[in-house]
Formats: sequence, C-alpha cells, structure tokens
Amino acid sequence: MEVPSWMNILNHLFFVYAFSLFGLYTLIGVLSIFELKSYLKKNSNIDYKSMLSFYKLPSVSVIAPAYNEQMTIIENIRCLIALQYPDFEVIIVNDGSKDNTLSTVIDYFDLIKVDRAYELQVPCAPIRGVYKSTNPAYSHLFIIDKENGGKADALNAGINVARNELFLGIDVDSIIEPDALLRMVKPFMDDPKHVVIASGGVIRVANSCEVTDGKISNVVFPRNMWAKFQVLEYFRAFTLGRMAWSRLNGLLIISGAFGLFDRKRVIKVGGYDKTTVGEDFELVVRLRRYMHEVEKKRYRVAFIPDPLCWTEVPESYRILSRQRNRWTRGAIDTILKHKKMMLNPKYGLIGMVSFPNWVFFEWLAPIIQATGIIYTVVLLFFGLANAMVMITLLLFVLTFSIMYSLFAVLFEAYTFHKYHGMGYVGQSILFVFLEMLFYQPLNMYFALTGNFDFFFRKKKKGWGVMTRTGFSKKKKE
Amino acid sequence: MIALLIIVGGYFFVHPSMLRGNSIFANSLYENVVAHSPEWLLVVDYLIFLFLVTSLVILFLIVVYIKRENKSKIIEKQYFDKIIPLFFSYIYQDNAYVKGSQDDLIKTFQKLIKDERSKKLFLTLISQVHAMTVGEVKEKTALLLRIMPCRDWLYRNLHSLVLVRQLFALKVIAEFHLTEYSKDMRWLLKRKNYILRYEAYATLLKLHVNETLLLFTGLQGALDLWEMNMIIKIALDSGEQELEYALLIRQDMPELAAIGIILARLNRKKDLKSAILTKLDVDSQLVRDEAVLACLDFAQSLSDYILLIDHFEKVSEKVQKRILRSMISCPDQSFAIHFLKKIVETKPVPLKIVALISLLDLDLNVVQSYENHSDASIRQSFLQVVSFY
Repeated sequence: MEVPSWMNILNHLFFVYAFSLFGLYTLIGVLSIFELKSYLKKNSNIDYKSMLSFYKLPSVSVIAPAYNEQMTIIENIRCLIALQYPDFEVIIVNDGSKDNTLSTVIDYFDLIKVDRAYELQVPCAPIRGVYKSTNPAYSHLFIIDKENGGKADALNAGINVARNELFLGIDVDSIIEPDALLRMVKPFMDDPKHVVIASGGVIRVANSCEVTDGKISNVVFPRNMWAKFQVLEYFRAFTLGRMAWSRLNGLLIISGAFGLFDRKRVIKVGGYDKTTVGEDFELVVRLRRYMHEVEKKRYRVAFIPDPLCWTEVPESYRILSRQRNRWTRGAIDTILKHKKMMLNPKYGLIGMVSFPNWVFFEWLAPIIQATGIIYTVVLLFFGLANAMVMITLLLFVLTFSIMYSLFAVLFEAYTFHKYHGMGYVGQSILFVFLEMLFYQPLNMYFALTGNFDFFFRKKKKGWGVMTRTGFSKKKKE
Repeated sequence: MIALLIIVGGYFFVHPSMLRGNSIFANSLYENVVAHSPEWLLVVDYLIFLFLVTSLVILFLIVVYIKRENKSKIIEKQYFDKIIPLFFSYIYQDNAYVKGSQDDLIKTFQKLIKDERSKKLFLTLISQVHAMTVGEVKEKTALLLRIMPCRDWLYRNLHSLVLVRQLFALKVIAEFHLTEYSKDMRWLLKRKNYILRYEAYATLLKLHVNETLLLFTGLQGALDLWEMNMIIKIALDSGEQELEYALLIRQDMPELAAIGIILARLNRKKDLKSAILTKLDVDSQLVRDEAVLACLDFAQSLSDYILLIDHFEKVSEKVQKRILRSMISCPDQSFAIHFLKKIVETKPVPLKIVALISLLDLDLNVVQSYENHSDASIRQSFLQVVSFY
C-alpha cells in the first residue's frame, strides 16, 4: 500500500526527534563520565576542613523559607546552625505560617525582636520583624517574620536582610551535610578563568533514612514505592544529566532545595521571580541572560556531584502528581518568559544548545511522546504499520532506557556508594524495569496535565500542598 | 557469560543455521525475522543486542563494586579493631617504656602492616592523629613512622603512575615534614598533570617555605583564590617569620603581591610599610584591598588615617567596613567623627551601620542625634545599632 506523503513526513519527523533524543542521552552519559572523572581527580584529595582556617573566604548567608513547619523546624534549624563554615549566618524566613512555627522557634532559641536595618533591594511582602537569639551560641541565627508571599517572596526577603557575599537558598526541611558549605564555596575560589555566579548540588532522597541530631546517620533505600522510583530518577537527573551540562557550562537549573548564588548579582537581576512556580529555574536563566547581555564576562554555573543535600520526596500518587505538574508549569513559564534566548547565537551555547534542549526534550518531550503513541496505535489499527517493526522499535526504546538507568546506578555504586547491600542492588534493578513500564508513562501524564493546566486552565502560580512525614519521626531512638 | 552471550547472539543474528557433527540446526530467528527485515531494522536489532549486552556488563559491575565496597569496609573495620588498641597503648606508654619495648612493638606492628592496603590504612591513621595533636603525641606518631618500614612504600607511591597513590604519598610527606623527599618534589613540579604539580608545590612549601615561595615568582598564569589561601595557610602554619616579603610584594602577579602583603601584615612586619604603600594605587582590587588593610593595621599617626580615607572609594565594601571600624583608633577623634558622620549620611545601609557602631564608641551624643533623622534608612540603621549592640 502506498504511504501518503504527510505520513512520510510525520514518520521522518518522529525519526529525527527520536534519533536526536537518544543521541543526546548517549552524549550526556559520555560527558558525565568525563566531568565526574575530572571532578574526583581534582577534589578527592582535598581536606575541606583546612578551609576553616583560610584567610580569604567569601561569607555566606543560608536562607531557608519556612511555611507551617512547626513539627520539624527545630531539628532543621539545629542542622543548619551546625554547618561547618567560618563566616556564615542562617536566616529562616517564616512566610506567614498559620501554625506555631514562629512561636516554636522563638521559645526554643530564646529569640527577641530586633531592629535589623535592611534595604528593599528585591521585591518582597512586608516584613513584620527580625528576631535574634539572646543566646550567644546562636548569634549567627536570624528569623524573619513576614506576610505570606510564597517561596520566591520569602527567599527575596532573606536576600534583602542578608549581609554576606553569597547566599545558599535551601528548603528548610532538607538535611544538609555538615561540610556542604565548604564544598559548595570551593568552585567560587578555584577558577581564575571564570566568574562563578552560582553553584548547585546534588539532591538525594532522604525517605526512610535514619536521622540523628539533624544529620543523616544511615542511608537506606526507601521503603515506599514512589520514593524508590525517585531515587533512580534523581540518580539520572543529577549524577548524569546535570554533570554533563555542567561539563558544557550549559546548566540552566539549580535546584531550589540547594543552590549557592552570588548575592550581589542576584540583586542586580531583581531576585527571585514571584510570579512563577519555577523560580529556581527562572533565576538561573535570568542570571545567565544578565551575564551575556550586561557583564559580558566569562562566567560559569558550577555543579557539585557530592551528595550534600537530602530531602524528602513525595510518597503518594497525589502529591507526586502535584509536584510534577508544578515543575512542568514552572518550566513552560520560564521558557516562554525567556523565549528570546531560543536559538539565539548571542547567548552562545546556552541559546543554541541548552535552551533548545529544554524546549524540545524537556517541555515538548511528553507531548511528542504521547502523540507518537497515539499515532502508532492508529497506524496499527488501520494496518498501516508493520507489527514486527513496531515491536522492534519498542524493544529498542526499552533496552536503551534500562541500560541508561543501570548506568546511573553504576555511577552511584562506583563513586559515592551511599547505598549498600545486595538487597539494594536487587531492588534497584527491579525498579529500573518497573520504571519503564509504570513510572515513566505516569510522569508523561503528569507533564501533560501540567501543560493543560498552564495553557487552558491558566493555572500558573498555585503550589499545592506538599505533605511531609518529617524526619524527626524517623529519628533513631 | 557475557562472551558467551555475544557468541550466541552473533549466531542468532548472522547465521541461518549451525552445523554440529552431522546435524544441521536451523536458526528460526534468522529465518523468520532477520532474513526478512529491512537493513535499517537490522541495525536496530544489533543496537538492541548491544544495549542488552551493555546492560549485563553494567549489572555485573554494579554487583562487583557494591561487593568490593562492602568487603573493604569489613576489612578496614577488622584492621582498625586490631591496630587501634595497639596504637593507643603505644601512645599512652611513657618514653622509657617505649624505648625498652620498641623492638617488640615494631614486630607487632609489622605483623599487622604487611600488604598495600594495611600500609595505607596505617599511614592514614597516624597522619590523622599527627595532624590533630600537638606535643608528645605528635612526636610519638612521627617516631612511629620513622621506625616502621614505610619509607620504601612511600617512595614507590610517589613515583607510581597512579595519581591517587602519588597524592596520598604527598599528603603523608607533607604531614610528617619528610624533607628527604624534597628532590622528588622538585621532580614532580615538572610533571604535566596540573593536580599533581599543585600538590607537589603545596608539599614542597610545607617542607621549605621560603625557598618554595620564591619558586612561585617564576610561575606563569594567575593563582586562584584557593591556591592563595593554601599558600598563606602553609606559610603561617610553618611559623617561619623571615620570609622574602619584599620580593613577593614587588611581583607583578597580583596574587603573589597580595600574598606578600598579607604575610607581612599577619607577621607584623611594619618595616615593609613603605613597600606596601606603593601598592595602594595599583589596578588590581585584590592588591589594593590588602595594601589598605596592611596600612590599617600599621596605622599610627593622623596622616596614616588621612591616607586610608583618601583610598576609601577605591577598595571593596568589606575593606571599607574595616576602615570604618578602625576609625575608633584614630588619634584625632573629631576628624574620625566628621568622617563617620559623612558616611552615615551618604552611604548605603550596611556602611551606615558600621559607621554608627564606631560612633557609639566615640561619641554617644552623635549617635543619639540620628534617632529622629529625616532619612528613614538612617533612623532604621540607628535602631538596629541601638538594639543589636
């Protein structure tokens, strides 16, 4: 039977897209090996503790927005104030919590309201007060109490009140390794050829891990099914994806849960964007735009592969779907806001490679995938496709995906080996297979609903509620 | 297993049949699929096969790495369980006893330190203890290294082709100040590998501070902030006071000049003030900042403070704050107050606050006068200073 020409064109388009996608993943795998190898070569012998007595270190403000966190806030603050760094302050921003977050902190740390002077350099909702502890042991802890305005707004309030050269934006419920600041600051110091504007770190899944005194004391592969899928997903995204983009200096996102920024430059670009739910992605894109358009200096966004930040991931379908929906809306919003960068040689590699990657392989991927699946079903239904060919192509996709995920697991086993035992190996292999059949199609569905919500329901801002179990419940007795 | 899979897979994809003795076994996969597939689909089939084989290799490696890691942890624990009590009994013995029983100790340690792994673990342990302690314990760990048969091993590692081994040996040499390896360090300085060269410099610096600092003057290219910090730290930790400060300060490379100024300042070398003054107006912000900080520390007369104020706009905010704080030591109080008042009225909030803090020490009435100032940012800074300090 003669194939219609439109079908021929469509077939070719799908082929080119799929070919580019697999090519990109292969390239990411290869680049991540090179990047990780050079990182480990350069840093595995470093005694980070020696930095504590360095003469010239940039000062850091740790800014952590908190909203209704009364259950876990004390444990989390204790973890933050115990970070190892010679010159840092911790700023907790109570973003108009409706529970007793503020009073819990005031009582525990003996806080009093002080008149800390600050300039409103980036926009944020009114600040009701700044609190400081009367206990000298907590002299580097500050609490900002402000009206509710969302995460970006709270981070902006923290940036206004902060005094230091760099700031670390984190989720207050994340658990940070004690030497995280030392490791994150190093890229700002060891590259004389580039101005480092930000450095991002790996996020690891903390579900089921044992936490003692605000520190991860035993890393355990999660017991919850959804969390297990996300462990594998985070391996791929952080250890492979971001490492590879970092190699090319094309990293466009630093996770909002853990990112160190040059405070003055963030102020110059206007701080976090309060109108988007993807404020972390948007900020990095805007900073990069600023460096290309205004400063025009050689610059870099660094990435640290060491597992330094542990966070609780969604453990139910409902919360996961909300999170992924929000991520999709945030990505679309940022892409549309900065569409000027798309295939624009003025922005170098960012405009020609990183940004198009986000458009074609992050935003449009689920839409193209869904269209491809529907198209294939229709072709098979009308007898226009050879079943054997389709099965072969499906096998190609599945075997490649399995190989890629296993490669990410191997990376972890070879480098940081945080997970131990054959039980973990068995489970991760099982979930690599299940992921292909179950989790990835679901993720595609979440992304599609995110697109639908963004374009048809005009839902751009809503965060939804992220219910957390709280680490303290898992604390070892 | 993987090789077998490749052979079997190769058979399925390439051969229509297999001859075993007198029997011919037909390959149904080839007959039904491969022979009828278009060429491009065959490429896809090969790729699927390749992915499968690679996945199996990866799986195998995952198991190997996890097992190896678990095993090395167990061995490490067993080793430390044996050696740590012995090590601490050695540390807690008095010197006379050590001398008397030295041979026995050596024998016992030697029994435990046989292979590569145990030597590395042993050296790691004593290096850590040496780094963390002072006095007698530090001396005892150094003595232990001298009496243990580790020197040849260190030399072999230093000249190994494996970077990790070389770096480990450098670390031990630096920690125990083993000057007999200086020649080897100089040899390593000529190596192409940047990391190795950098570590060799750091180690050599620990062994011979002054001599190595001079070596830096011949370097091409800039030093980064990390390297600067390392050099300063090592130079300060060495306790060496008579360094080639003037030569360093004269260098065109901003980082080296800054290191010279910093070391001169921290070692209180006031006689270098005139050399430092020549650096107050150079292009490099780094050098200017350090020169101003040094002048600040060495300031005595009013003319010194006037000079500093002249350079106030040329330095970073961090140094500006230091100048403002130092105004409390200015011999002419009214001059200092006048300057600080100007800062409160014209500069951004962070500087206003520091100026007000200094004014608190100089004249409370001046600070009080800002309580009802028309400028909200000055009022806010006043409130902060009053409530914070």
